[in-house]
Amino acid sequence: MRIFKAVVSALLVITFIALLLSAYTQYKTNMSVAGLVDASSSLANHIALKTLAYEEGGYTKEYVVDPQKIPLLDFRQEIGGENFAFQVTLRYTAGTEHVLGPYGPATPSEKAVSNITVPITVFDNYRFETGKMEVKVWRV
Amino acid sequence: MAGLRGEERGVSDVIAIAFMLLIAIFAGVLLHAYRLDAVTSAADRQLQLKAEYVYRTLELSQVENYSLSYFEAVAENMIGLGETVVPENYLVEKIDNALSYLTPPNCSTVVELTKDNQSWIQTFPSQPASTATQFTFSGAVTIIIAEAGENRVAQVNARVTIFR
Repeated sequence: MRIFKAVVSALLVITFIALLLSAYTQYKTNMSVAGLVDASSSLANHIALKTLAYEEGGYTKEYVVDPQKIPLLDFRQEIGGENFAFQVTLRYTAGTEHVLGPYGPATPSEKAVSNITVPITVFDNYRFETGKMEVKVWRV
Repeated sequence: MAGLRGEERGVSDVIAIAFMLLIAIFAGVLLHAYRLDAVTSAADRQLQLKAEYVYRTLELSQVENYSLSYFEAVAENMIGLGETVVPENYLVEKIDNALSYLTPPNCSTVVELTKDNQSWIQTFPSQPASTATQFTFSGAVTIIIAEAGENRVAQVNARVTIFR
């Protein structure tokens, strides 16, 4: 009986340690994925409000993307002490759908990539057209 | 007597081990559930951001063949100026097209503009279930009406809701 108790107690301790390790790994994965998703939201927001925002007479028009500014984009950004790379694709409707891009480095196959598509306004040919901006983000 | 005490001890040991096993299983479930909602919360924040972006897009993008934005055109229709720039039927169709283009996959979008007792509501693709999670962004659309003598400012409340 004593041997049985000792063996069961040891098994329970081992099981508990295994559970702790497994839960910690899952927690780390969840937090990493959530961080990547938040980074993609943050980057898309930054691009639409600042980096690619259309400027007119020294005045920045937020939420309006100027495709002419795409060559100015730096496709690597540091957010919260982590480095991210991203790729941008613009789509907009002006009679038919126009697709610009993808711009930036190719998405890696071995890393987790977060993808966000936000509705935006695209300045094209002196008109504000309905569009979408797709941003793919991954850690580097 | 001594044998009976040994038997009792044996049973109590088995019960203690069974409880420890139960506690281990319960702790395992709790540990794995900790911060499980982090990814869902991040996805929810994205949908809230998209609700704001749908609002801004309808506020700033121009209706095809016209120089007015979707919200300005609706506001103008609701205020009831003598001659509206964008005809109502055409505007309904264009907003429907815009919503079909902008609505995130597996979601519904409701656009609602209100002024006094009037309202303009458009939904894409269908009326969402009342139990669906909602992400709302609201604001006001202001238009200036040129009148003889002086200009008048009119305001219409606008709200965009994404249902998942």
